[in-house]
Amino acid sequence: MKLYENEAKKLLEKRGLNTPRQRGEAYVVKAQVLASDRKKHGGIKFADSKDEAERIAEEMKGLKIKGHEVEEVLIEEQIDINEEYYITFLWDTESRNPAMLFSESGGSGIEDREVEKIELDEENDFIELPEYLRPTAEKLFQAFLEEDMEFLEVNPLAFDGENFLIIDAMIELEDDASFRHKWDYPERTEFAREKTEREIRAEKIDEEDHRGVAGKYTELEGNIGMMLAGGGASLTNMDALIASGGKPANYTEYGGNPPTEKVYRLSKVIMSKENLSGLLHVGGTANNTNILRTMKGFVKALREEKPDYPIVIRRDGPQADKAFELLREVRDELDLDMELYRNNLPMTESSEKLMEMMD
Amino acid sequence: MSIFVDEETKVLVQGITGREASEKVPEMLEYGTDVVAGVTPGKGGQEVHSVPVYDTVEEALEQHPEINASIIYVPARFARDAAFEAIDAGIPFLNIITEHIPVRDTWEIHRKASENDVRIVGPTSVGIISPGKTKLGPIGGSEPEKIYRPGKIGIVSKSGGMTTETAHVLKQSGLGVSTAMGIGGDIIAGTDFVDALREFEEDEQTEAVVMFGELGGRSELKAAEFIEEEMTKPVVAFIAGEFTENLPSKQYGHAGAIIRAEEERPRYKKKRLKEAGVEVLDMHHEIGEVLRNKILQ
Repeated sequence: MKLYENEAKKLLEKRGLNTPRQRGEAYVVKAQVLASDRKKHGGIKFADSKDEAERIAEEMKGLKIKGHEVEEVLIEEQIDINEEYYITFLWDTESRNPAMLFSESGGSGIEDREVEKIELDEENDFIELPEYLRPTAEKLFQAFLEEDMEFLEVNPLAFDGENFLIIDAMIELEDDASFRHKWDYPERTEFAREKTEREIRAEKIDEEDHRGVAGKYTELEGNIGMMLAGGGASLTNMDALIASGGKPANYTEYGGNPPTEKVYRLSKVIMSKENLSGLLHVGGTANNTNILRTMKGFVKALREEKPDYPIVIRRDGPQADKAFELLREVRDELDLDMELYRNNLPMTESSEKLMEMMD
Repeated sequence: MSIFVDEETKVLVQGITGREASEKVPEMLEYGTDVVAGVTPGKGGQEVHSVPVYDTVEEALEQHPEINASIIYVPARFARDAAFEAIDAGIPFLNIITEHIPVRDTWEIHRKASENDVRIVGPTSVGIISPGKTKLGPIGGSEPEKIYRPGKIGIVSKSGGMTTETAHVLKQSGLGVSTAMGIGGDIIAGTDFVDALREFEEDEQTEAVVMFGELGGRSELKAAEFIEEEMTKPVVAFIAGEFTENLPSKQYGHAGAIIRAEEERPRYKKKRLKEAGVEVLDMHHEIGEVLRNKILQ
């Protein structure tokens, strides 16, 4: 979960790091949105008095910064910055250790500057950094580890002549570690839009029942409903559909061993989108997912929705014989335009089959 | 030959009494896997499909000193302790099936394993199979012999489903598998592409390797470097998730499937692998034909 700047700063304050005060001679007004380059897009403004700052803050609320609606605004003292640094902690898949990214010149436009990558261990002396920065780096690293962050970016870390201050911070907490924290952050989306009604409905499926995964749904612009199984296979089939000229109406993946009811609810969400012209239900050859149990949920949704657009199903794995018997039954009964394939059809050819049917 | 597991592998299952694990034990037994014992704290003395259950790894090893591999099926919050227990008991090979282990815990497991020369495959692994010899974990489902034929192709994949789908595509082209494994798509992998490629390079049975990668992380790039410099056997790669490049940054599927830098994009990974001499395919189902008609000619 990505934190807003004000949440990130509060967390870092708790860890003994310094952030700008709320009062001062001059102020900065910052829109709390999960977008980068806020300054360039009118999300960061300056004021000479608290009154002016509050006026600007009111004007900012409700604006859209790169598509993100501004709901909260942070007002802080404007800092006279003597020096500014860029410092980031992340997990490095290559070394399989945490790593630190560092630059002696922080601030905006960091993407275009030279950043040094320093591999970290359990204990570090941060010898690569100027001595006066090492205690701050150590505090940040401990916060990164103990608060279970996936990503911690401080840009810039500023020296005001007295203290090192976190001027801006981006934190991503690792959802998988939530069991050992008391995180209580409100709902959010990283998309430059609100969650759609369908996305919220889908999320509830997993929240209300933890067996298997059947609640991942991202709404897209296209007209082909995507009922995809398995993480890797879902990515592969999205790529394949786009390569065959199709436009997905959503990204979805289900997996593990979800009960029938969860797959039913997910199928309903997918089929509820207006103006669908096709539906692809594809997965690899499952190791673990019970095809009959999951397909029963899809069939129940078919009976209720009776889609008139072409459907291609390609699925195989445990109990697939019985699942396909059921699919053939419902196809005949409802006279559906539905082609059924086991793994005798190469998985990534399923999208071509659907495109042919839609022609 | 084959890598990591074979007919000599004697298996312990940690978390054996859980729903998923107890379902998979009969599948493994039926395939011929030597599942000799299981562990669930507090459930010592029970049996799961005739496999004796112990309270601790140490007790299991006292009774079954031949154990040389452990499958970890415990819930995510206990996974680190379970792995530590197995490492401390001296088991040299761990296959971690558990998903959603926090990356900090995986890091600690990886560090301890490296210090003790223990090989870890996982977390979020679908298992590992050396066809005709043994299988650990759910890989191949209840009838692995239908999809996994013994043969000369190694498979290493971040995705469990695509491990088996790849074996299926190979079988359609008349090819079999030396060893196939799901290494998981987490941010830190106990065995990454390079670790697996290095083993396959030395394995006599393996003549070529298929790798299935995806967006996010840099382990495919590290693999490209290894292939360029040290690998003599041909490698075929498939990298999924190109469509995400046109969408806002978001995590897809696996924990590690998030793009943090330009080089972590599928397009860049494909380019880098091609430069390294890898046959990179755009359509997954072409893997079998390309291997048979072009590479193994």
